[in-house]
Amino acid sequence: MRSDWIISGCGHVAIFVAGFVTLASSKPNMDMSNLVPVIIVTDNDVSRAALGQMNAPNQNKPKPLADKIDVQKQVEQVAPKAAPKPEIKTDTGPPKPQEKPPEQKPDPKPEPKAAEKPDKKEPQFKPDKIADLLKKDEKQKPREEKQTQQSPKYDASEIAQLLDHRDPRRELTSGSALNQEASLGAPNAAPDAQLSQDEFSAFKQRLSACWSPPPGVDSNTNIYVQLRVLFRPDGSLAQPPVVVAGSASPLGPAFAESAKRALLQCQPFTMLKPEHYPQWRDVTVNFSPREMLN
Amino acid sequence: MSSSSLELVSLFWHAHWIVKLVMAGLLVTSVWVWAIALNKTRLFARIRKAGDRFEQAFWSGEQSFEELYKTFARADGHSTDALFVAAWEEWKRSIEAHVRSLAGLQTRIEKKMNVTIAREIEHMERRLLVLATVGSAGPFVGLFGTVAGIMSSFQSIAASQNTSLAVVAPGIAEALFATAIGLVAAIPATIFYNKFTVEVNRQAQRLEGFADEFSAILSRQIDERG
Repeated sequence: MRSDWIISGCGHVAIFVAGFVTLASSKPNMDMSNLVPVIIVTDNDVSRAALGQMNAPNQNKPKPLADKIDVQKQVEQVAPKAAPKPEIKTDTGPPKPQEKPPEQKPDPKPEPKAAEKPDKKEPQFKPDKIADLLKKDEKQKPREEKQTQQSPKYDASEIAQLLDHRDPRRELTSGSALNQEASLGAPNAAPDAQLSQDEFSAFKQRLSACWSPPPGVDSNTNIYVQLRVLFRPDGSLAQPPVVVAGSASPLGPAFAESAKRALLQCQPFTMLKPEHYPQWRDVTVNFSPREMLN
Repeated sequence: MSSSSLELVSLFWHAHWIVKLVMAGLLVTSVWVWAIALNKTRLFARIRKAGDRFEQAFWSGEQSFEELYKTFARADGHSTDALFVAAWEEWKRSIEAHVRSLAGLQTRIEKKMNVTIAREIEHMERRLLVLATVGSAGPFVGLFGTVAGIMSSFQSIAASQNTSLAVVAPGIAEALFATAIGLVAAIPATIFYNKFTVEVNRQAQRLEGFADEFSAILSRQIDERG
C-alpha cells in the first residue's frame, strides 16, 4: 500500500507540474489587436438616436411615394387563392372594353332590327314563309358579322393582359424602407448632450488630473458646481465656462473658480471625438470633489 | 514558466483559508484515491491469476488433494486456493482425529468455506468505501470551497468598492479551482468504485461456485467412507 501511495503522489505532482507548464505557456495571449471594444448601448442612446443628426442633409422635398412593391410573396395562402381569381376576371372584364369603344362605336341598330323583324312577322305565322325568313336571316348574317368585326373585339386573352396581375394581398412598403437616409429629427428636439461612456470617463479623468482643490476642500467636502461649457470642434473651449448651479457654501466661489481654471488649463480635450461633436458641443459638467479626487 | 506558475501558486496561497483547506484536503483525497485504485488493480490481478492457476491444477486431476494442499498452503492466496486450503485443513483435521461420525463433517466444511469466502470478500472490498465516499462527496466539498471563496471575494469587492473584472476575477478563479479539484478527485473515484464493485461480485461468484462444487466432491467422499 505504501508503494501505491508513493506512486500516486508522484503522479499527482507530475501532472500538476505539467499543468502549470502548459498554463504558463498558453497564458500570455493578450494581443491588444484581438481585443474587441465593447460599447454599452443603453435605451437612452437608442431614444436619442431617434432625435436625428445634426449633419443630415436637409430634405424638405417630398419623400417618394411608398408604392406597393410586389416582392412579399411569402404570404401566399393556398386555400383562399383559388376562389377570388375568377371573380376578378368577371368583375373587371366588362368595364375595360368600354374605355376603348368611344371612338369605334358599335352600331346598336342592326341588332334591334334583326330582333324586331322576326317579332313583327311572328304573329302572322306562315309555315311557307319560314324558308323566306331563313333566307333573309342568311342575308342578314354576313352584315352582322361585318358589324361585329368593326366593333371592339371582345377577347378573353386581352382582358387577362389588362388585368392587374400583381398580388392583391401584397403589402405596402413603409416610407422608412424606401428612405434609408438619416433624418433631421424633430426640429425642436432638445439636444441632450450626453457623451459616450468612454469619452465621458476619459474627459472626467483628464479634468480630475488637472484640478487642484482649493484650500479647505477635500474628497469628503459635500459641495458641487454645475458648469455650462461650450466647445469648439477641436476640443477647446469656445468661451469661458459659465456657472449654472452650485451648492450654497462659503467654499463655493473658490471651488467654482478652481473648476473653471481646470477646464481652461486642460483644453483642448482631444479625447472628445469630432464625430460626436453635436453631443458635446454644449455640455453641463457636474463638478464635485468626491468624483474628482477618486 | 516560472512567473506564471508562481502566480498560480501565489493564487493558491492568497486564497481564503477555508478554500485552501478544501483544496489541500481534496488534493490529498485524490492521491489517496489513486493509491487505492493502484492497490486494488494489482490485488485483483493477483487474485485472478492465482485463482486461474489453482483451478487449472485442481481440475486437471494430475495431483491429489493432499499434493495440491501442500503446493498451495504456503501461497497465502486470496482466491479459490484459499478456499480449498481452508476446506482441506478441516477435512484433514477431522480424518486425523478419527472422528466417529462423519455426518457433521460436511456441515463443518461448508461453514469453514463460507467463513473463508466472507473473509476474502471483505479483503477485496476493503477501502472501496473510500472510493464511494469520495465519488459522491468530492464535488460537494469542492463546491463548498467555491462558495466560500466566492463569498470572500465578494466581501473583498465590497471592501475595495471597485467592481472591475480585474478585482472580481482572481477570487472567483481561485474559488472555482476548488470545484475543479473536487471533480478531479471524484470522477476517478466513481469510475474505480464501479469497476471494483463489479470485480468483487465476479470474484465472489467464482468463490461460491467453487465452494459448491468442492463441497459436493467432499460429500461424495464422505458418503463413500461412511
